[in-house]
Amino acid sequence: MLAWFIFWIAAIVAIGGQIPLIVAAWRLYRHPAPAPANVPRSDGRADLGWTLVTALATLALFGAAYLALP
Amino acid sequence: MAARKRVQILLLGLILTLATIISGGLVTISASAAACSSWPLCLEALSDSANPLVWISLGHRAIVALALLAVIGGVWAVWRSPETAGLPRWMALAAAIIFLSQALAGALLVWGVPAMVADVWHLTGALLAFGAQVLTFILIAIPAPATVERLSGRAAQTQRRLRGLAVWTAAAAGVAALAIGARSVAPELEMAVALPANSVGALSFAAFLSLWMAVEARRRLPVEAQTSALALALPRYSPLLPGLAALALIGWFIPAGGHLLSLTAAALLWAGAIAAAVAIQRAPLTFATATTTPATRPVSKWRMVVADYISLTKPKVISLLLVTTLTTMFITEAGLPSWWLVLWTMIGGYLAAGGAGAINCAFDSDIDVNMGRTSRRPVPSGRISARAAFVFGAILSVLSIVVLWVFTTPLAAFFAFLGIIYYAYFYTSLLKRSTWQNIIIGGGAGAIPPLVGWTAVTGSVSLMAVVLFAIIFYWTPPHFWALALVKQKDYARAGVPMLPVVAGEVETRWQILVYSAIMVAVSLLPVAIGAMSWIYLVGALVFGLRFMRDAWAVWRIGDQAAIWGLYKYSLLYLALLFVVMVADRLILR
Repeated sequence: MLAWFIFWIAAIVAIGGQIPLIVAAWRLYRHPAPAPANVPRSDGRADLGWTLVTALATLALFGAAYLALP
Repeated sequence: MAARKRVQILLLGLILTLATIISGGLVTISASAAACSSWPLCLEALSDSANPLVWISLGHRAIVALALLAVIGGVWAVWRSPETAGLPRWMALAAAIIFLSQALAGALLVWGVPAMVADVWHLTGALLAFGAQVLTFILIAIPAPATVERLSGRAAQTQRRLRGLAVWTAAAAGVAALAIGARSVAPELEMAVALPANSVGALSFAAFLSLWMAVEARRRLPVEAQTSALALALPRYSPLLPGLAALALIGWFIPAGGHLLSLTAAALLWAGAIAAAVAIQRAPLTFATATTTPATRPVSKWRMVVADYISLTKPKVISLLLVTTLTTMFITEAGLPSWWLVLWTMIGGYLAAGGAGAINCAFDSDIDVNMGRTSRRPVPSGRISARAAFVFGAILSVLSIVVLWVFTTPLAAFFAFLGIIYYAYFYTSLLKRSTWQNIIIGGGAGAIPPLVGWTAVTGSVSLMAVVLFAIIFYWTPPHFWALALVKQKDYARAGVPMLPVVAGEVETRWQILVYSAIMVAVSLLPVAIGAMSWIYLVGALVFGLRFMRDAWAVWRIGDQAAIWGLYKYSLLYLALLFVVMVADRLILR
C-alpha cells in the first residue's frame, strides 16, 4: 500500500513535471531569447526534441517501476 | 598532580591497552580463550594440566587487569586536575567504561556466548577504548589555544582538508583493524557482524588516505608551521601513518605472526589518525595567522608537472562520482562486494573519469581560457599542450577499460567506455557548444558511475541501477545551473550557450525548481519498487525537502546567497542520499 502511494505521488510529480519543461522548450523554440553575439544560437527544434526524449524516457522508467511494484 | 605525572599515567594506559589488543589477537589465533574455563581468574594455571594455551590466556588476562588499573588511574589523574576540565575528563571516563565492557565481552567468550559476536565486540571495545584514551592524551598534551583566531580562507581550507583526511584515515584504519580481527575469528566468513572480512581493501584505503594527508601536510603547511611546536608534529611525522598502513598490509602476507603485525599496525594507525585529527584542529593557527609572508617550500619542476597532470583528471569532480560508484556497490542484490573488487572498481573508475576529464581539458582549452574559474588549468595556461593532455587522457581511458575488464566485469568496462565517450566527445564536442540542453542531456555522463559500480558487482543491469542513473540525471541541472547562474558572464564570454545565457535568469531559476521537484520524486522510487526501506525513505524525504527549500529560495529570492546555498547543498545531498542507501541496506539487510 505504501509502495503504491509513494509510486503515484512520485509519478504525478515526475511525469507532471515534464509539462512545464516541454512548454518552456516550446516557448524558447517559438520565441528564442536574444543571446550575446558570440554565443551560438541553439537549434530550437533539437532542444524541443531532447526535451520530449527526456520526458518519454522518464515515462518509460515509471512504466518499468509500475511493473515492478510489489 | 604535576602535568608530567598525568601524561605518564595516560601514556602507560595507552601502552597497556595496545598490549591488550595484541595479546587478545594472540589469544584469538591460538584459540586459547577456552583454555581457561573460569573467569576472571584462570585456576587451570595452578593445575598440573596447565599448557601453553593456558599461559597465553592467563597472560592476556593479566595484561587486561593491568591495563584496566592504568585506565582507571588515568581517569583519576584527569578528574582531579582542575586544568583538565571538559572533554578530556569525559573521554577518560568513556575509555574506562568501554574498556570495562570489552573485558566483560571477554567473559562472555569464556562462558560460551556466541563466540563470533563476543569476539568482534571484544576487539571493537578495545579499539574504541584505545581511541578514547588517545583523544584524552592528545587533548591534554595539546591544550586548546587561549584565544581562537580567525583563520584565513586558505588556511581554513587546508585545515578542513587535512582534518577530513585524518578522520577518514582513522575510520578506514578502524574498519581494517576490526576486519583483521573478524577474519581471525571466522576466516570462512564473508561477513562478520556486518563487517567485511577482507581487510586488505580497507587497509589500502587507509594507506591511500594517510599518504594523501602526508603529502598535503608537507605541501601546504609552510616551513615554520612544521617546526614550531609539538602540536605541529603532524606534518613531520605524518609519513609514519602510511608507513603503518604498509606494515599492516605486509603483515597480511606473512604466514607466521603476520596477523599480529597487521593488527598492531592497524591499531596504531587508528590511534595516529585520531591524534592527527585533533592536532590539525588545534595546531595550525601559527601558520594561519602569520602576518609576514610565510617561507614557502621550494617546489621542484617534476612535482609541478605531476601536480598539473593530476589536476587534468579533475580530482575534486571525480570524488563525488566515486562516492556514487562506491556506495552503489554496497546496495546491489548480490550482497557485499569483496574489498579487492571495490579497490579495483575505484581504480578503474578514477582512471575512466580522469581520462575523460583530461580529454575534456584538451578539447575545451579555448573555452577554459575565457573563464576565470578554469583559466589557470594546465592547458589554457600553457603548462601542458592540448595534444599531451589528450594523449594522457586517452592512455588513462584505455587503462581504465583494461582494469575494469580484467578485475571486475565486461559490462562495467563497457559502461566506463560509454561514460568516457559520452563525456569526452558527445558532451564536450557537441552538446556543450551547441545547445542549452547541454547540461540536461550531458548529465547522463555523470550518471553513469553508479552503473559501473552496480555492474562491477552483479554483472547485469536492473531497474534499481536505472533509477540511480535517473536520480543523478535529474540532479545535474539544478546543480550546474546554480553554478551557471553565478558564472554566467564567464560562460557568455566563452561562447557557451548555458541556459542563463540564452534564456535568462528567471527561466533558469524556474527550471531549477522543476528539475529539483522531479529529482526528489525520482529519489522515492527505490522505496516504491521495494529496493529500499524506511531508513532510506526518511533520509530521502528529509534531504529532499531541504533541497526543495533551497531550490524554492533560488526561485523566489534568486540572490547570490540562495544560489550558492543550493549549489553547495546539492553536492552534500547527493553524497548523503547514496550513503543513506548503504545504511538502509547494511542495517535492514
